[in-house]
Amino acid sequence: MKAIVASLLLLAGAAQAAQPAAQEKLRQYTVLAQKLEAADEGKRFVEDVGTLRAWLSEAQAFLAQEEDEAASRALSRIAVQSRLIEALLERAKAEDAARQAHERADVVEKDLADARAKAADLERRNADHGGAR
Amino acid sequence: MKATRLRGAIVAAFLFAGCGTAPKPAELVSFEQLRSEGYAETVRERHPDLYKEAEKHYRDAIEAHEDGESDLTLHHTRLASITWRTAVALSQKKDAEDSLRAADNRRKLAEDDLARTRLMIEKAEAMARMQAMQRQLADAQAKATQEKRAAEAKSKLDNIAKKLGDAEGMDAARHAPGPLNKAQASFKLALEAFQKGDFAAADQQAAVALADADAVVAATKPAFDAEEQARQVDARYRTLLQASSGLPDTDGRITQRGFVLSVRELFDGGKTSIRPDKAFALDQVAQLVSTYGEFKILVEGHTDNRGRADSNLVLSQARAQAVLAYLTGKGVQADRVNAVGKGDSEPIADNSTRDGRAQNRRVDVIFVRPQAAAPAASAAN
Repeated sequence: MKAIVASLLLLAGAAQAAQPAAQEKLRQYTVLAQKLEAADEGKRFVEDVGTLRAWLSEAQAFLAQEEDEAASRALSRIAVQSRLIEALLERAKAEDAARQAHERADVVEKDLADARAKAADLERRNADHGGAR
Repeated sequence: MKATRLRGAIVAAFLFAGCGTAPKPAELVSFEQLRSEGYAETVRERHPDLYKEAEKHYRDAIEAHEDGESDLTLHHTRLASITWRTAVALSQKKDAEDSLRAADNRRKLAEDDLARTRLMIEKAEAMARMQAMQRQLADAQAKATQEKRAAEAKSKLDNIAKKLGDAEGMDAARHAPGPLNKAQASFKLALEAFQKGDFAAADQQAAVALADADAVVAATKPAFDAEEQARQVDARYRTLLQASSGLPDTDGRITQRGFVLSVRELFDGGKTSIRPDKAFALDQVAQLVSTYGEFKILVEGHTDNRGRADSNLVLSQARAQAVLAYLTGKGVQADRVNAVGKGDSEPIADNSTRDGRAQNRRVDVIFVRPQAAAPAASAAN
């Protein structure tokens, strides 16, 4: 997905391309938008995805009206918005992974604290019994 | 109408000229606030390309705004804002990745520490098990020691009880009342300690009681043995008395010296050879001497008081020797028998009468009482 976004961004520089090329980009962005929306399993980026959808519709309308300049600008925004959503998804994924890692670390640290308490208790008991003997 | 339009245009132109450019759109102002926050420097360091891209869009927006191109201003502002947010998101993604690594490191450290701590726990648990086993062993040893002490104390107490019982059977209450009371008191203390379960004290006290009991036995046994032997000797003397009761011209009696069998009229007057007709009687005496072989035999010759005393002494001595010789001639061992003459010194009847003198003319065959067998009170009496 990242490769697609990168290639589309490169193509966005040539926004003034002819209609067929713009239509093709729009189609690719539409496919990409579907993938990004599907990737947002937690629906955390609904607003940004909605903006992307709105701009896709807007670009479609501009192309239909042959307003190439406006369509080109819309495609530029679509390109950076797609890249943003992908970055947001990656951040979310990294943050989830970090949170899970912290949770795992918390579990291990709790096990450690319990084990230390048990070890201290055992050592105290051993010292008591050893002393009593 | 034209004048009014013109005035409006002039006012608008005047106002426009007074204010310079139109106010920045809200999106642009928001972006400027966004890029002025503290995170901007981080974004610039981590994602310089995106930073430059956002800055370019921002400059384009400013330029469009200054040109009065509001749509283009909004377009570039959006591009700048989205690019900026993208850079921030990617930077925060890196923060999250750093946080992930930190969490992993934290977890690894904790896991390492946990492994060491669990090892400590295993060691401590092993130590606890070992200590428990040591306690069990010590308890078992203590129990065994206690049981051994109990057994030893009980054995001593049993021994003491037996000794005291034996001592009481030997009439220690009469022979050694003081030591017996002392031993019984010691034994009572030992028994009380034993019943309380204080086996060490019981053992210690039992040692004292045992010594006391030994003292009782030591004090009692010789007297008891002497009495017992005396009883046995007296019993033998009684059977001897019974056995001799049918012998002619004899008279048996039990005395402190022993059983005395007086044999009369063995000799003619002034003679020292045994009358032949008395051989039968003397044979039976010899038989008794052989049968009761545990006794030493003393043959005593006696006379009446007629004649000179020294002559009587010599005569009695010779007669005693004659009987001794007769007895040894009948198989009596010589080392058992002694002979002595007493003359007229020990009469048993009145010498003034004929019968009395006849009784005094005698040979006493004495079955001598052993020295250790002092006569029992009843028997002696």
